[in-house]
Amino acid sequence: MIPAQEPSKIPASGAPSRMEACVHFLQRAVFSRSQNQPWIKGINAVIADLENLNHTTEAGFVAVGGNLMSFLTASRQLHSDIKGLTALVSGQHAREACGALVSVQGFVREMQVRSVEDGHAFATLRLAADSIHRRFSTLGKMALSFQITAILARIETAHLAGSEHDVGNLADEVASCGTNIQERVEQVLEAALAFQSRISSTLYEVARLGALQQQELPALLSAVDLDLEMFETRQQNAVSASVKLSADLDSVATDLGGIATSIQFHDITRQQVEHVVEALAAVVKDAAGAPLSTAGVVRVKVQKAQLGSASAAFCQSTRRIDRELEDIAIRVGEMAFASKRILGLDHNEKDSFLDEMQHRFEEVLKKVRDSLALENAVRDITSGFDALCQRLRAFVNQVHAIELQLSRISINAAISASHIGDSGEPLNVVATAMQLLQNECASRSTEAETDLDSIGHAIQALITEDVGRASRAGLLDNLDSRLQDLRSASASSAEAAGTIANLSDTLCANLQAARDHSGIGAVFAETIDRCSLAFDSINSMARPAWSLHAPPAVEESPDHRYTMQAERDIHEAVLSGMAPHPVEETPAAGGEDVEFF
Amino acid sequence: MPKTILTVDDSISMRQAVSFALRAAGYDVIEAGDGTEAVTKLSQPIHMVITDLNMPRMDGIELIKHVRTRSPHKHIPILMLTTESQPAKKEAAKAAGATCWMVKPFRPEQLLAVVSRVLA
Repeated sequence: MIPAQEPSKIPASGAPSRMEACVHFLQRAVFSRSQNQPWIKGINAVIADLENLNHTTEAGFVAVGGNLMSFLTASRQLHSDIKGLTALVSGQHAREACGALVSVQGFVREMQVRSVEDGHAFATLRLAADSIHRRFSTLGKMALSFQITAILARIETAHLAGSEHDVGNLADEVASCGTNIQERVEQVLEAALAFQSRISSTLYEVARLGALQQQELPALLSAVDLDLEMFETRQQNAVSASVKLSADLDSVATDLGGIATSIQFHDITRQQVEHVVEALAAVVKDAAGAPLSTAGVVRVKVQKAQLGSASAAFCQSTRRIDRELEDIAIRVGEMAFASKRILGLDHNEKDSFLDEMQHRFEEVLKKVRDSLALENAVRDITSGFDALCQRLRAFVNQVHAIELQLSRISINAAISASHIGDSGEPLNVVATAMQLLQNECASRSTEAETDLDSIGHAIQALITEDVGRASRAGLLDNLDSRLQDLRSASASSAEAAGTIANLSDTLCANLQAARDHSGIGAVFAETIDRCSLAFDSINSMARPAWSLHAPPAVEESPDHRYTMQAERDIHEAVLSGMAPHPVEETPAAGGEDVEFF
Repeated sequence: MPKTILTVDDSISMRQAVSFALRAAGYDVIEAGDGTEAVTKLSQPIHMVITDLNMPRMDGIELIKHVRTRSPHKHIPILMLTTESQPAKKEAAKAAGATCWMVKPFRPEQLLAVVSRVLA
């Protein structure tokens, strides 16, 4: 009997002999007839269905794996972006912003102290300048009245001229002294007036500065204190959120690892289906075109049982994967929402905190700038004080210098008067008047020097405060830089919010896609059901139909896995014609079996 | 610089599962569908090979022998990751030069512990 095997190919070398051509013709005929057996058609249809099933499920799980890989990449990117956003709030820039605010606190307190000290200094300046003016006004009046003394001296000098008591040019000296004193006093008064005028204009700016500082600085200080407190709270929240998110993402990654483990189970299922296909092909080949035998029915039933077992395990596994993916999707959604809220992105998708801090910094910067501008204006005005003071001092010294001259003339007049006797009394009057004037000059000059010393100390105090101008300008630069950082951070946060939103959507899309693909469990079950019906139909074609007990199905569970080795053992038993045996459940999953050589 | 691991398996989903676990841990991964394809990847810098046993064209045992004798990576660790658990197959892998043996399916943390140990 010519076996119903696939016809062999005609050798390429040379033309076939007549015998070879006949054999080939008969083989084709028998093979063709055998393939037309209904049960064989049924088996072939099942084989095609199963091969297609393997291809479909492989593609499905590859897609799931791809989705999970994309998810992992997106979640890492999300974590990185949130860390970056957290750094905006709690990193170096934030610390520098806090440092700038602390500098503002110091600046404000310094200004408040300076304001008090400047007030004292300006009060001293005003009082001293007023005092000098007042004293030399009195001296000026006295100098005016000295004209009478000069006239008396001229009369007496004329009277005594040519006599033995001639006093020479006494009258000229007295007149000259009087004129000198008057001129010097006028100079002092003019300088004192200029000084007073400068102080008055300065006091106007000082008053403005004082009003600004009294109103604005305490409020500024309170605002900065509040800002620092808010900033610190926000930073702590951001750091906590970032830490929690890291932990959550790690937890999700671990759970994804569990899903990846479950997906491997498909490899066993794939192998099972391949073995069934191989076993069914062997049944067809062994039948050699004859009707399905009893042994063939048994083998087909075993394959049906294998497929049933595979289907149950596969569907259970895919359902578990779907549940785990659903759980992860919910957690990812919660994480994204919580992160958004804690990082302040829930307000118009932008970090309201960074916006608010930016506005606060702008206000702080403006107030500090205004305050410094006024202060610098005051300092610029006071920079001329020293020159005025020196000029005033020079004039006062000139008045002081005339005292000696006055004293000498007074003594000469007194001596001349004593030589003349009773008729020289007018000269005594001149001498006395000059002495009085000299005393007055000395007194006023000495007092003015004391006032000028006070003025000098006050000016020195004001100049010393100006030394800090460079560091205050540095504060402005620092605040400006921090404001730029906050603007940049605010813009970055808006960008990050968009990225985070997109990544969150990507995560959810990846998970949903994975869940969609994990629905291949239903496709698997449908295919196996279809094959089972086909097997039943094939079984009914057999003569006789036997009902045999198929091996018990194995239920896959996390603790007991249907390993590939068990599957291979059954398959080899079936192929070798041995009776199928119950599958032993193996404790624990694979991966526990690790050996290092 | 992350270390690079060559994973060889005729199952796409299995290669994906291995790659997923390794990449999540920060390793770079190169994939090959069987031993023949894996040989073409050996010119790249590779720090470890993870291979299945039963593959078409060139199986895991042959691949291990090739790596140990005719590749620039003669001394890198090789993990046989397979569904087989027969002692004879294990001995054959050991004789060919495998560093360790692990049965599928695996938990990612288990695989990473083995990889971490052999790469240390």
